[in-house]
Amino acid sequence: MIKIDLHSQTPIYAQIKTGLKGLVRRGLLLSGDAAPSIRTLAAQLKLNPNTVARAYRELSVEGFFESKRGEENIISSRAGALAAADAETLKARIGEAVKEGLRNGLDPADIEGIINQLKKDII
Amino acid sequence: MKNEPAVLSVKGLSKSFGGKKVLDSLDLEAAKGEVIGVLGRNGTGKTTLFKILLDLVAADSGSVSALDLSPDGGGRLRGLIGYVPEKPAFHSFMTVGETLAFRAGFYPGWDKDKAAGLCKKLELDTGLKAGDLSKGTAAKLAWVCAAAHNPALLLLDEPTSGLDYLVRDHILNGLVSELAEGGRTIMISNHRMGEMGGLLDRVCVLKGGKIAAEHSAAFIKTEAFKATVRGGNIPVSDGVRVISRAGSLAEIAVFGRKKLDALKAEGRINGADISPLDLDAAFKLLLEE
Repeated sequence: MIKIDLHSQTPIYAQIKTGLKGLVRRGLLLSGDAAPSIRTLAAQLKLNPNTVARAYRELSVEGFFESKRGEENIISSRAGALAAADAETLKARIGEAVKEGLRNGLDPADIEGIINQLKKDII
Repeated sequence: MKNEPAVLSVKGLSKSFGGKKVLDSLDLEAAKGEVIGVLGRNGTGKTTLFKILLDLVAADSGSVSALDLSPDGGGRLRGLIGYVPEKPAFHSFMTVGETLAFRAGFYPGWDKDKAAGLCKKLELDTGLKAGDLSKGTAAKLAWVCAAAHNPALLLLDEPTSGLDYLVRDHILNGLVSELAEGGRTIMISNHRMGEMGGLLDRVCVLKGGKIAAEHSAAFIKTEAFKATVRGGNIPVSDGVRVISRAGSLAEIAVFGRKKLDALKAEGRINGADISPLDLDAAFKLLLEE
Protein backbone atom coordinates (compact mmCIF):
# COMPACT_ATOMS: atom_id res chain seq x y z
CA MET A 1 0.00 0.00 0.00
CA ILE A 2 2.53 2.54 1.18
CA LYS A 3 6.20 1.71 1.48
CA ILE A 4 7.65 2.73 4.80
CA ASP A 5 11.36 2.89 5.38
CA LEU A 6 11.95 2.48 9.09
CA HIS A 7 15.59 3.50 8.73
CA SER A 8 14.90 6.69 6.82
CA GLN A 9 15.64 10.11 8.31
CA THR A 10 12.18 11.19 7.21
CA PRO A 11 9.78 10.67 10.12
CA ILE A 12 7.34 7.83 9.62
CA TYR A 13 4.24 10.04 9.90
CA ALA A 14 5.68 12.19 7.11
CA GLN A 15 6.27 9.08 4.99
CA ILE A 16 2.64 8.10 5.51
CA LYS A 17 1.47 11.57 4.45
CA THR A 18 3.56 11.45 1.28
CA GLY A 19 2.46 7.87 0.66
CA LEU A 20 -1.22 8.77 0.80
CA LYS A 21 -0.67 11.71 -1.52
CA GLY A 22 1.12 9.32 -3.83
CA LEU A 23 -1.92 7.06 -3.89
CA VAL A 24 -4.01 10.06 -4.97
CA ARG A 25 -1.50 11.10 -7.62
CA ARG A 26 -1.45 7.63 -9.11
CA GLY A 27 -5.23 7.57 -9.25
CA LEU A 28 -5.65 4.76 -6.77
CA LEU A 29 -7.51 7.00 -4.35
CA LEU A 30 -10.05 9.43 -5.80
CA SER A 31 -11.82 12.39 -4.30
CA GLY A 32 -14.80 11.08 -2.33
CA ASP A 33 -13.12 7.74 -1.53
CA ALA A 34 -12.65 6.57 2.01
CA ALA A 35 -8.99 6.25 2.91
CA PRO A 36 -7.96 3.14 4.83
CA SER A 37 -8.92 3.56 8.48
CA ILE A 38 -6.17 4.43 10.93
CA ARG A 39 -6.44 1.03 12.52
CA THR A 40 -6.29 -0.87 9.21
CA LEU A 41 -3.34 1.08 7.90
CA ALA A 42 -1.47 0.72 11.18
CA ALA A 43 -2.06 -3.03 11.14
CA GLN A 44 -0.98 -3.40 7.53
CA LEU A 45 2.17 -1.35 7.87
CA LYS A 46 2.85 -2.79 11.33
CA LEU A 47 3.02 0.67 12.81
CA ASN A 48 1.78 2.26 15.98
CA PRO A 49 -1.77 3.59 15.39
CA ASN A 50 -0.72 6.85 17.07
CA THR A 51 1.82 7.44 14.31
CA VAL A 52 -0.79 6.89 11.63
CA ALA A 53 -3.25 9.05 13.57
CA ARG A 54 -0.73 11.88 13.62
CA ALA A 55 -0.33 11.70 9.83
CA TYR A 56 -4.11 11.67 9.37
CA ARG A 57 -4.55 14.59 11.77
CA GLU A 58 -2.07 16.69 9.84
CA LEU A 59 -3.65 15.68 6.54
CA SER A 60 -7.06 16.78 7.88
CA VAL A 61 -5.62 20.16 8.85
CA GLU A 62 -4.12 20.55 5.38
CA GLY A 63 -7.54 19.82 3.87
CA PHE A 64 -6.55 16.52 2.31
CA PHE A 65 -9.45 14.84 4.09
CA GLU A 66 -12.98 16.18 4.25
CA SER A 67 -13.69 17.26 7.76
CA LYS A 68 -17.40 16.55 7.97
CA ARG A 69 -18.34 12.92 7.52
CA GLY A 70 -18.18 11.16 10.86
CA GLU A 71 -15.54 8.55 11.49
CA GLU A 72 -14.33 7.93 7.98
CA ASN A 73 -11.54 9.88 6.38
CA ILE A 74 -12.87 10.94 3.00
CA ILE A 75 -10.46 12.22 0.38
CA SER A 76 -11.39 15.84 -0.32
CA SER A 77 -11.69 17.52 -3.70
CA ARG A 78 -8.57 19.51 -2.87
CA ALA A 79 -6.48 16.38 -2.31
CA GLY A 80 -5.33 16.15 -5.93
CA ALA A 81 -4.05 19.73 -5.94
CA LEU A 82 -2.34 19.21 -2.58
CA ALA A 83 -0.62 16.08 -3.84
CA ALA A 84 0.47 17.88 -7.02
CA ALA A 85 1.89 20.75 -4.96
CA ASP A 86 3.75 18.23 -2.84
CA ALA A 87 5.21 16.67 -5.97
CA GLU A 88 6.46 20.10 -7.11
CA THR A 89 8.11 20.69 -3.74
CA LEU A 90 9.76 17.28 -3.92
CA LYS A 91 11.00 17.93 -7.44
CA ALA A 92 12.53 21.20 -6.30
CA ARG A 93 14.15 19.45 -3.34
CA ILE A 94 15.64 16.75 -5.57
CA GLY A 95 16.98 19.46 -7.89
CA GLU A 96 18.46 21.26 -4.91
CA ALA A 97 20.11 18.05 -3.67
CA VAL A 98 21.59 17.37 -7.11
CA LYS A 99 22.96 20.93 -7.34
CA GLU A 100 24.43 20.59 -3.87
CA GLY A 101 26.02 17.31 -4.88
CA LEU A 102 27.62 18.85 -7.96
CA ARG A 103 28.89 21.74 -5.87
CA ASN A 104 30.48 19.15 -3.60
CA GLY A 105 32.28 17.69 -6.59
CA LEU A 106 30.07 14.64 -7.18
CA ASP A 107 30.35 13.30 -10.68
CA PRO A 108 27.12 13.35 -12.74
CA ALA A 109 27.79 9.64 -13.23
CA ASP A 110 27.66 9.15 -9.44
CA ILE A 111 24.29 10.84 -9.35
CA GLU A 112 23.04 8.70 -12.19
CA GLY A 113 24.32 5.68 -10.31
CA ILE A 114 22.23 6.62 -7.28
CA ILE A 115 19.16 7.02 -9.45
CA ASN A 116 19.75 3.73 -11.22
CA GLN A 117 20.18 1.99 -7.89
CA LEU A 118 16.81 3.33 -6.74
CA LYS A 119 15.21 2.36 -10.02
CA LYS A 120 16.14 -1.25 -9.38
CA ASP A 121 13.73 -1.34 -6.47
CA ILE A 122 10.86 -0.37 -8.73
CA ILE A 123 9.29 -3.51 -10.16
CA MET B 1 18.17 -32.21 -8.09
CA LYS B 2 15.93 -34.35 -10.30
CA ASN B 3 18.72 -36.77 -11.21
CA GLU B 4 19.45 -37.72 -7.64
CA PRO B 5 17.89 -40.98 -6.49
CA ALA B 6 14.81 -40.62 -4.35
CA VAL B 7 15.61 -40.95 -0.67
CA LEU B 8 11.98 -40.99 0.18
CA SER B 9 9.08 -42.16 -1.92
CA VAL B 10 5.51 -42.22 -0.68
CA LYS B 11 2.66 -43.51 -2.83
CA GLY B 12 -1.05 -43.58 -2.16
CA LEU B 13 -0.64 -43.25 1.58
CA SER B 14 -3.90 -43.27 3.56
CA LYS B 15 -4.59 -43.20 7.25
CA SER B 16 -7.81 -42.77 9.19
CA PHE B 17 -8.34 -42.23 12.87
CA GLY B 18 -11.79 -43.34 14.00
CA GLY B 19 -13.44 -42.70 10.66
CA LYS B 20 -11.66 -39.39 10.11
CA LYS B 21 -9.47 -39.59 7.05
CA VAL B 22 -6.29 -37.76 7.93
CA LEU B 23 -4.18 -38.83 4.97
CA ASP B 24 -5.96 -39.64 1.74
CA SER B 25 -3.84 -41.25 -0.93
CA LEU B 26 -0.86 -38.98 -0.44
CA ASP B 27 2.06 -39.03 -2.87
CA LEU B 28 5.41 -37.51 -2.11
CA GLU B 29 8.98 -37.88 -3.29
CA ALA B 30 12.15 -36.41 -1.89
CA ALA B 31 15.52 -36.48 -3.59
CA LYS B 32 18.87 -36.71 -1.87
CA GLY B 33 19.89 -33.39 -0.38
CA GLU B 34 16.51 -31.80 -0.81
CA VAL B 35 15.04 -29.58 1.89
CA ILE B 36 11.27 -29.70 1.83
CA GLY B 37 8.92 -27.56 3.84
CA VAL B 38 5.58 -29.14 4.69
CA LEU B 39 2.96 -26.50 5.13
CA GLY B 40 -0.46 -27.23 6.51
CA ARG B 41 -3.10 -25.97 8.90
CA ASN B 42 -3.46 -27.57 12.31
CA GLY B 43 -4.71 -31.13 12.11
CA THR B 44 -3.99 -31.69 8.41
CA GLY B 45 -1.80 -34.70 9.07
CA LYS B 46 1.74 -33.36 9.10
CA THR B 47 2.66 -35.20 12.28
CA THR B 48 0.79 -38.33 11.18
CA LEU B 49 2.80 -38.37 7.96
CA PHE B 50 6.03 -38.10 9.93
CA LYS B 51 4.96 -40.82 12.33
CA ILE B 52 4.19 -43.20 9.47
CA LEU B 53 7.58 -42.49 7.91
CA LEU B 54 9.18 -43.25 11.27
CA ASP B 55 7.31 -46.51 11.59
CA LEU B 56 5.62 -45.27 14.76
CA VAL B 57 2.15 -45.50 13.25
CA ALA B 58 1.05 -48.01 10.61
CA ALA B 59 -0.61 -46.71 7.48
CA ASP B 60 -3.98 -48.09 6.39
CA SER B 61 -2.83 -48.40 2.81
CA GLY B 62 -0.18 -47.14 0.44
CA SER B 63 3.53 -47.68 0.21
CA VAL B 64 6.48 -45.94 1.81
CA SER B 65 10.07 -46.39 0.85
CA ALA B 66 12.68 -44.46 2.77
CA LEU B 67 16.44 -45.01 2.57
CA ASP B 68 15.76 -48.28 0.73
CA LEU B 69 13.67 -49.56 3.61
CA SER B 70 9.96 -49.77 4.27
CA PRO B 71 8.23 -49.36 7.61
CA ASP B 72 7.67 -52.91 8.85
CA GLY B 73 6.90 -52.38 12.50
CA GLY B 74 10.43 -53.45 13.44
CA GLY B 75 11.85 -50.00 14.01
CA ARG B 76 14.93 -50.49 11.83
CA LEU B 77 13.97 -47.43 9.81
CA ARG B 78 13.64 -45.34 12.96
CA GLY B 79 17.30 -45.88 13.75
CA LEU B 80 18.31 -44.22 10.50
CA ILE B 81 16.10 -41.15 10.62
CA GLY B 82 16.74 -38.05 12.67
CA TYR B 83 13.49 -36.90 14.20
CA VAL B 84 12.68 -33.76 16.13
CA PRO B 85 9.18 -34.33 17.46
CA GLU B 86 6.66 -31.62 17.98
CA LYS B 87 6.43 -32.53 21.64
CA PRO B 88 9.70 -34.10 22.70
CA ALA B 89 9.32 -36.61 25.53
CA PHE B 90 12.09 -38.11 27.59
CA HIS B 91 12.24 -40.38 30.60
CA SER B 92 11.93 -37.92 33.43
CA PHE B 93 14.19 -39.80 35.86
CA MET B 94 17.23 -39.65 33.57
CA THR B 95 19.64 -36.79 33.24
CA VAL B 96 20.40 -35.31 29.85
CA GLY B 97 23.67 -37.24 29.74
CA GLU B 98 21.93 -40.50 30.62
CA THR B 99 19.27 -39.86 28.02
CA LEU B 100 21.92 -39.46 25.35
CA ALA B 101 23.72 -42.64 26.44
CA PHE B 102 20.40 -44.48 26.46
CA ARG B 103 19.41 -43.25 23.01
CA ALA B 104 22.83 -44.12 21.60
CA GLY B 105 21.87 -47.78 21.82
CA PHE B 106 19.02 -47.36 19.35
CA TYR B 107 20.95 -45.68 16.57
CA PRO B 108 23.63 -47.57 14.67
CA GLY B 109 25.28 -44.36 13.56
CA TRP B 110 25.42 -42.64 16.95
CA ASP B 111 28.46 -40.39 17.32
CA LYS B 112 29.30 -39.71 20.96
CA ASP B 113 31.66 -36.85 20.20
CA LYS B 114 29.13 -35.22 17.95
CA ALA B 115 26.49 -35.46 20.68
CA ALA B 116 28.86 -33.84 23.17
CA GLY B 117 29.76 -31.16 20.64
CA LEU B 118 26.13 -30.38 19.93
CA CYS B 119 25.37 -30.08 23.65
CA LYS B 120 28.15 -27.57 23.95
CA LYS B 121 27.06 -25.62 20.90
CA LEU B 122 23.46 -25.42 22.07
CA GLU B 123 24.52 -24.72 25.66
CA LEU B 124 22.77 -27.78 26.99
CA ASP B 125 23.88 -28.89 30.46
CA THR B 126 24.17 -32.70 30.48
CA GLY B 127 23.65 -32.84 34.22
CA LEU B 128 20.07 -31.58 34.10
CA LYS B 129 17.21 -33.93 34.91
CA ALA B 130 15.21 -34.64 31.74
CA GLY B 131 11.97 -34.30 33.71
CA ASP B 132 12.83 -30.78 34.81
CA LEU B 133 13.66 -29.37 31.37
CA SER B 134 11.85 -26.30 30.15
CA LYS B 135 10.15 -26.51 26.77
CA GLY B 136 13.04 -24.88 25.00
CA THR B 137 15.69 -26.97 26.72
CA ALA B 138 13.80 -30.17 25.93
CA ALA B 139 13.71 -29.05 22.30
CA LYS B 140 17.49 -28.63 22.40
CA LEU B 141 17.87 -32.17 23.70
CA ALA B 142 15.59 -33.41 20.93
CA TRP B 143 17.85 -31.69 18.40
CA VAL B 144 20.94 -33.33 19.82
CA CYS B 145 19.23 -36.73 19.69
CA ALA B 146 18.14 -36.14 16.10
CA ALA B 147 21.46 -34.96 14.71
CA ALA B 148 23.98 -36.97 16.73
CA HIS B 149 23.67 -40.14 14.66
CA ASN B 150 24.36 -38.47 11.30
CA PRO B 151 21.07 -39.49 9.69
CA ALA B 152 20.64 -39.26 5.93
CA LEU B 153 17.02 -38.25 6.40
CA LEU B 154 15.72 -35.79 8.96
CA LEU B 155 12.13 -35.16 9.89
CA LEU B 156 11.65 -31.94 11.77
CA ASP B 157 8.21 -31.41 13.24
CA GLU B 158 7.85 -27.82 14.39
CA PRO B 159 11.52 -27.84 15.30
CA THR B 160 11.79 -24.28 16.52
CA SER B 161 8.70 -23.96 18.68
CA GLY B 162 9.58 -22.85 22.17
CA LEU B 163 13.16 -21.90 21.39
CA ASP B 164 14.43 -18.44 22.15
CA TYR B 165 15.74 -16.18 19.40
CA LEU B 166 19.40 -16.99 19.84
CA VAL B 167 18.95 -20.74 19.91
CA ARG B 168 16.52 -20.61 16.99
CA ASP B 169 18.97 -18.60 14.98
CA HIS B 170 21.72 -20.98 15.92
CA ILE B 171 19.70 -24.00 14.88
CA LEU B 172 18.32 -22.56 11.67
CA ASN B 173 21.44 -20.89 10.40
CA GLY B 174 23.98 -23.22 11.88
CA LEU B 175 22.64 -26.70 12.30
CA VAL B 176 20.05 -26.97 9.57
CA SER B 177 22.25 -25.32 6.94
CA GLU B 178 25.12 -27.58 7.91
CA LEU B 179 22.88 -30.62 7.62
CA ALA B 180 21.45 -29.48 4.31
CA GLU B 181 24.89 -28.85 2.86
CA GLY B 182 25.95 -32.33 3.95
CA GLY B 183 23.62 -33.78 1.32
CA ARG B 184 21.00 -34.84 3.83
CA THR B 185 17.36 -34.87 2.97
CA ILE B 186 15.28 -32.81 5.33
CA MET B 187 11.54 -32.46 5.75
CA ILE B 188 10.43 -29.59 7.94
CA SER B 189 6.98 -28.71 9.11
CA ASN B 190 6.71 -25.29 10.58
CA HIS B 191 4.00 -22.74 11.07
CA ARG B 192 6.43 -19.92 10.58
CA MET B 193 7.90 -20.79 7.22
CA GLY B 194 9.09 -17.23 6.83
CA GLU B 195 12.00 -17.92 9.14
CA MET B 196 12.94 -21.04 7.17
CA GLY B 197 12.57 -19.47 3.77
CA GLY B 198 16.23 -19.35 2.94
CA LEU B 199 16.76 -23.04 3.60
CA LEU B 200 13.99 -24.60 1.59
CA ASP B 201 14.13 -26.02 -1.91
CA ARG B 202 10.47 -26.84 -2.16
CA VAL B 203 7.27 -26.21 -0.28
CA CYS B 204 4.43 -28.75 -0.18
CA VAL B 205 1.00 -27.67 0.96
CA LEU B 206 -0.79 -30.45 2.80
CA LYS B 207 -4.55 -30.17 2.56
CA GLY B 208 -7.40 -32.66 2.60
CA GLY B 209 -4.95 -35.48 3.25
CA LYS B 210 -3.01 -34.82 0.07
CA ILE B 211 -0.23 -32.63 -1.19
CA ALA B 212 -2.57 -30.02 -2.60
CA ALA B 213 0.13 -27.86 -4.14
CA GLU B 214 3.87 -27.76 -4.56
CA HIS B 215 5.98 -24.70 -5.12
CA SER B 216 9.65 -24.23 -5.62
CA ALA B 217 10.94 -21.99 -2.87
CA ALA B 218 12.88 -19.90 -5.37
CA PHE B 219 9.64 -19.09 -7.16
CA ILE B 220 8.00 -17.86 -3.98
CA LYS B 221 11.06 -15.85 -3.05
CA THR B 222 11.57 -14.06 -6.36
CA GLU B 223 8.32 -14.31 -8.29
CA ALA B 224 5.70 -13.25 -5.79
CA PHE B 225 4.62 -9.63 -5.84
CA LYS B 226 2.29 -7.35 -3.99
CA ALA B 227 0.37 -4.54 -5.65
CA THR B 228 -2.14 -1.98 -4.55
CA VAL B 229 -5.18 -1.46 -6.76
CA ARG B 230 -8.62 0.10 -6.47
CA GLY B 231 -11.02 -2.27 -4.73
CA GLY B 232 -13.48 -2.19 -7.61
CA ASN B 233 -10.78 -2.91 -10.12
CA ILE B 234 -9.24 -6.19 -9.02
CA PRO B 235 -7.88 -8.16 -11.97
CA VAL B 236 -9.44 -11.50 -11.02
CA SER B 237 -7.55 -14.37 -12.62
CA ASP B 238 -5.26 -17.30 -11.94
CA GLY B 239 -2.23 -16.39 -9.92
CA VAL B 240 -3.85 -13.31 -8.47
CA ARG B 241 -5.07 -13.29 -4.89
CA VAL B 242 -6.60 -10.59 -2.74
CA ILE B 243 -4.55 -10.05 0.40
CA SER B 244 -6.62 -7.37 2.06
CA ARG B 245 -9.02 -4.55 1.49
CA ALA B 246 -8.85 -1.16 3.14
CA GLY B 247 -11.29 1.60 2.33
CA SER B 248 -11.54 1.78 -1.45
CA LEU B 249 -8.14 0.13 -1.88
CA ALA B 250 -7.23 -3.50 -2.15
CA GLU B 251 -3.91 -5.22 -1.90
CA ILE B 252 -3.36 -8.13 -4.23
CA ALA B 253 -0.68 -10.77 -4.55
CA VAL B 254 0.52 -11.71 -8.01
CA PHE B 255 2.38 -14.99 -8.47
CA GLY B 256 4.77 -15.15 -11.39
CA ARG B 257 6.71 -12.44 -13.17
CA LYS B 258 4.97 -13.32 -16.46
CA LYS B 259 1.57 -12.85 -14.91
CA LEU B 260 2.66 -9.49 -13.53
CA ASP B 261 3.98 -8.35 -16.89
CA ALA B 262 0.77 -9.50 -18.57
CA LEU B 263 -1.37 -7.56 -16.12
CA LYS B 264 0.81 -4.51 -16.64
CA ALA B 265 0.58 -4.82 -20.43
CA GLU B 266 -3.20 -5.13 -20.25
CA GLY B 267 -3.27 -1.97 -18.17
CA ARG B 268 -5.12 -3.69 -15.36
CA ILE B 269 -2.86 -2.56 -12.58
CA ASN B 270 -2.21 0.99 -13.67
CA GLY B 271 -0.59 3.15 -11.06
CA ALA B 272 -0.20 0.22 -8.73
CA ASP B 273 2.66 0.31 -6.33
CA ILE B 274 4.39 -3.05 -6.83
CA SER B 275 6.76 -4.60 -4.35
CA PRO B 276 8.03 -8.10 -3.58
CA LEU B 277 5.72 -10.16 -1.41
CA ASP B 278 7.38 -11.16 1.84
CA LEU B 279 7.74 -14.87 2.56
CA ASP B 280 5.40 -14.99 5.52
CA ALA B 281 2.62 -13.34 3.55
CA ALA B 282 3.19 -15.66 0.61
CA PHE B 283 3.00 -18.74 2.80
CA LYS B 284 -0.12 -17.46 4.47
CA LEU B 285 -1.80 -17.14 1.08
CA LEU B 286 -0.67 -20.63 0.06
CA LEU B 287 -2.17 -22.02 3.25
CA GLU B 288 -5.51 -20.42 2.54
CA GLU B 289 -5.67 -22.00 -0.89
